[in-house]
Amino acid sequence: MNYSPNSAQFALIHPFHMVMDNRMLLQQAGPAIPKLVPGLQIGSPLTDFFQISRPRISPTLEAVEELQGSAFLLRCVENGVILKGQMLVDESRRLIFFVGSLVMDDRLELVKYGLTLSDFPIHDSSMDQVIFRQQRLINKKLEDLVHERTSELAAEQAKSDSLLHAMLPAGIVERLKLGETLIADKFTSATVLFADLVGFTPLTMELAATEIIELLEGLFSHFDSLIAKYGVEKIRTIGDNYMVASGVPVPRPDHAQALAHMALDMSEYIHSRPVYRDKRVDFRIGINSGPLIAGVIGDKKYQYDLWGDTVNTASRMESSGTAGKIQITRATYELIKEEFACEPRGKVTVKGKGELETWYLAGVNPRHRMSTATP
Amino acid sequence: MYGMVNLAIQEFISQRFGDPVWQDIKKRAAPDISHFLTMEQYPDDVTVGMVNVAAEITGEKLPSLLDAIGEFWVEFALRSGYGELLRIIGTTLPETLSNLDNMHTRVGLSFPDLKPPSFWCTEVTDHSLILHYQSEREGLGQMVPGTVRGLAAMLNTTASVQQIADREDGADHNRYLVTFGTEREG
Repeated sequence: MNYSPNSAQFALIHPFHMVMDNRMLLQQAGPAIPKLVPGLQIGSPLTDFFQISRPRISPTLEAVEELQGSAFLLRCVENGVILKGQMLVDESRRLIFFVGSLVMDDRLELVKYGLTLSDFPIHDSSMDQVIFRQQRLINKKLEDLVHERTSELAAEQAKSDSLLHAMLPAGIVERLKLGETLIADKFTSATVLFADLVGFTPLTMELAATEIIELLEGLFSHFDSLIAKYGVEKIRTIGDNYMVASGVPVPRPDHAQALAHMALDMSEYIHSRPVYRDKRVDFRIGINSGPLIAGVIGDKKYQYDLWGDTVNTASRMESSGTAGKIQITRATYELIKEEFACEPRGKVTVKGKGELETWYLAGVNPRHRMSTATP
Repeated sequence: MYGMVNLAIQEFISQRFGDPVWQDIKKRAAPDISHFLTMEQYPDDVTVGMVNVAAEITGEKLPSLLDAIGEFWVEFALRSGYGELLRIIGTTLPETLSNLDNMHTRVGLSFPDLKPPSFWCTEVTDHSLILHYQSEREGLGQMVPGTVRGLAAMLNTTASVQQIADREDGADHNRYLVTFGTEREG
């Protein structure tokens, strides 16, 4: 058997075919060709409508004959659309036969030429390329969306990070993120300070709530600036009570000195302030040093907190202290006595502790100041 | 079913009945899915469940809901990245309907799990044709009339569709008589 389709079937299978004679005059064109080239005329030179852009040869039968094995690109003169295909030379009839398909360039708009699915041979893959192109566009859209959502997520993460960092020490935030649920670190030596506004309760009866807040806000935000200055850790404020620790979460040998300096600064700031609405405002400050446990427990309302007898005693130093004074325990005194001037207060009865010997921190030791000033 | 279908149904319900209604439906029909992804496969039950629950909650008849979804589907596909493809299926309704199967076959090549329905036309005249529909799935035939009207709208024309054979009544496949109008101006 030697089957070949008839010419109508052939046109259906190869809508983008053309036949030229030995002078390169167009003799026949598939049904899709006139859609691409509306002014197409049988009998006119091929080059009126298409330029052979590959291979680079002159448009003659002889040249085409020599390159029959090459892929041919025919570029439509009018609109730049490209046909890719092959050329065969019928030697006996001196005819050139071109069979090709549309090159699906990304910018090619089939609708513009009135080309539809019906104009493409079902067997070839040009239409699949259109679908592929659509797919790529859709994927691009999805990628853009993923990109957008990822940066939104990153922005939200940064927001919650900065909130966490405002609430917890940096190293603790990292550990919580890594999945630690219970953080309780033992410190062999750290220092804790409590400061409490003296006569706060009567003050609340005399001042409006907003005035109280304004007063505390002014004081505490200055204390907060000292936190940064001395590199100590603010633990919390409860009402008029301000709590600071030093030597946590990163241990340091001068933890007691750092808080002693801060206490003196706080004290100086309070006393340098004019009275508030003719009310005298004063603080009791208490300090203690010793072993303690610091960390975060529970999984709601994360808070870095301290536990241990050292903390309780520090609190007692504040409550049993005197307005305008900084009361410290022996433990703290022993750590700072070289650099700071302290006045012994004598024995103080402390709830749950019996009698304790305490000191008032008065200032930086002038001799020490001299000695450090002259190395 | 690919997520794109579910997304179309989601958008259809939200637009027509409001987002709270959609949230109710989703809670019941797809409680474990946070977002539908276009290229992801979901069980057919999810799709069928969403439409059934929607009919129950809104009081709409299931066939008319499916019909409306079919019409919405074309518009949704047009603006979800398939515009170019849909527009080259054909310039007239008969050409478009005749090429639907070709289009689905080719799309199926890039969606390996797609089980597209088959469509073909017979008795084509200037104003009517018989559209044949064969699907592996049950119960989605009600979407066909809406889809045909959606395609007609895309081509700026109108169509009316009448079912003349139903697989559920023992026919080999569904058949519809489609009559179409003259093209509307611009």
